[in-house]
Amino acid sequence: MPTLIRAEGLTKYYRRPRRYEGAFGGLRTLITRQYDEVRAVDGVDFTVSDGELVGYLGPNGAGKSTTIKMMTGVLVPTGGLIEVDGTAPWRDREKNAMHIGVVFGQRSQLWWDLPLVDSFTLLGKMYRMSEADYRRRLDGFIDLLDLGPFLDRPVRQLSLGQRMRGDLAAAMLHEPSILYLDEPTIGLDAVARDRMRDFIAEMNRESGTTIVLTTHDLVDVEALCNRVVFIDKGRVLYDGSVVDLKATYAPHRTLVVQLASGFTAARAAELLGPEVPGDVIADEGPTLRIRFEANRISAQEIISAVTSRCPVTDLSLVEPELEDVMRTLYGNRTIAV
Amino acid sequence: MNAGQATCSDGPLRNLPAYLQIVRGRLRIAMTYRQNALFMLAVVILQIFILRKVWTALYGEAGVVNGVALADVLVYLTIANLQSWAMQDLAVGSYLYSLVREGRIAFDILRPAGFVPQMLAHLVGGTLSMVLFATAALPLVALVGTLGPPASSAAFGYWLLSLFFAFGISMLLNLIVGLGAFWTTEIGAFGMLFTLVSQFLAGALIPLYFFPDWLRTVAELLPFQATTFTPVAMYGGQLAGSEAVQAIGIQLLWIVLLAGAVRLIWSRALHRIVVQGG
Ligand SMILES: Nc1ncnc2c1ncn2[C@@H]1O[C@H](COP(=O)(O)OP(=O)(O)OP(=O)(O)O)[C@@H](O)[C@H]1O
Ligand SMILES: [Mg+2]
Repeated sequence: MPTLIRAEGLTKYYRRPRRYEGAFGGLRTLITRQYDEVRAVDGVDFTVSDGELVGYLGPNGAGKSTTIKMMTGVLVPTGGLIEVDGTAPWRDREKNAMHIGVVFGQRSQLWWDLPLVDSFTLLGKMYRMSEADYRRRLDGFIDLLDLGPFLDRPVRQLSLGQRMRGDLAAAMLHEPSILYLDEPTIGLDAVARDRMRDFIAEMNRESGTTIVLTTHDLVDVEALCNRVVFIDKGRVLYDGSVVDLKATYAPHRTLVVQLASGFTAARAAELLGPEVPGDVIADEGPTLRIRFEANRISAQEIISAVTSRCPVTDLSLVEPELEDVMRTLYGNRTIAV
Repeated sequence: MNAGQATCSDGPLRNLPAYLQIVRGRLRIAMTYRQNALFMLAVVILQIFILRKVWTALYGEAGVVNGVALADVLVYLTIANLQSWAMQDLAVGSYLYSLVREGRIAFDILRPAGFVPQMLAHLVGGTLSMVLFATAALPLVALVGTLGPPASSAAFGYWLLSLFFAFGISMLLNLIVGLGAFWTTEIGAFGMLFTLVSQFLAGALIPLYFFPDWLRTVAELLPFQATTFTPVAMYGGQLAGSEAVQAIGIQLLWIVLLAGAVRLIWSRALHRIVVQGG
């Protein structure tokens, strides 16, 4: 797959003007120019290939939105290189704009005071679609995102979930080849989230749209992303597959064993002894937990070791949660990959 | 890349349909919020009424001051105030501020059409709706203020032409105020100051021919008089013949200068674009 987006040593420092309060505060801020510097993105390298769906993750203030803004071409980098399809997006915004779609979950591109459909009409003309193309695409999205019921309602009267669906359609109406989604599921309920995820996955799968997604919802990540880029304090901490990420930062799986009645966990632990490589945690009563490293011993081996020694009524395997990974990652922030 | 392909012509006017759609949207918004506009209009009509009373009292027994009759001043003030109300639409300016403050400007920058033309389309739409309201209010204005026919048919022609350019100048001025959003996030006090000063220097409260000489010189060096005084004085015939032609030339000069200023300001704004929030 050819590389579509390339960032090398990408840097953005914000200069935050010292603000003055009170009457004519704005004017004073305007006149006295004093700045604090914020290193929002501090030398980021990564590439995204055509057709990929990448999760761009990190804690609050990590620099995710700032990076997205540079990829879209809104912001000019302070330093380093950003290239989308071979050109710097901020150099030729209008040309770049034809090929990208953007959703900033926190804000809307829809025309607040007008019926939802008016925003689409404007976009149809803005992206110079033919009448037929426009109709076909809009009908497609009305179906896919169930926009019909509120198409003629002013955007300010829509619920968050409805507005978000409208925003997604608005971002995709011109069939961009790259879609940037900055927290598209923020504030949505469970059903709306599922629907949003299905839509994103479908756009990536069916239309081959390259997608860069930021989110704080790890279910989004598990459901959608094969690959994630983790950043913190403006630097990349990890870049790779979700599977490898877990193997590296949360290598433990846990086998939960329900013992037959009358057989205590403490006794089972004794029987298993040191032969089982892993931490045996004996709860009160008949539940036994064995935490083991997935890359040192297979679940199969542990299970047969347990079942050959103790009477077992039920077994279950607990996979590491992405959340554990995050804790590890954010916990020791100096890890370099 | 399965890019959205351009299907219409690729000439410089290719984005015209989009701009027209923005104008249409602005008109619809104005209709939605017409109560607000009508309230503001009521304020202006009140202002016209007060100005009429004040100027009538000022004239007292004198029929003609500085060669201008009271009736002419009253017609001048009525038209000038209605006109300058229609031009002083800060809605789009404050829209720009809210775009910048809330970071929604990212979307407008990421369109395959220029940002400045988009904002101009907003201004045209906003101004057009104000003109419609002002026209609808004419009967009431005639009742409260003083309306009279233009000095001559030539005066009427000059007025129309000059009014057209006046709208151009005031839109550019409003755009410049709006672009200030890239330097300061609050329009508040500054916007009010701008409205007041520009109204005064435009000659909406006092016709320029009653200004003391030094103030008149100041006013003539600024673009505001070209938005109000120039066309209305043509209507009343105080500005006619070669003077009128010259005044229109000055208007055109201002359009060129202000358009240049917008270009300059925008290119500087582009360098310091910061999109808030995230
Ligand atoms: N306009 C701005 N002016 C000054 N500093 C800013 C500006 N925007 C962001 N920052 C700072 O830059 C850093 C990165 O912000 P950014 O919005 O990119 O974070 P993020 O990863 O998107 O966070 P979140 O998950 O909270 O959305 C933060 O420290 C933030 O305070
Ligand atoms: Mg963010």
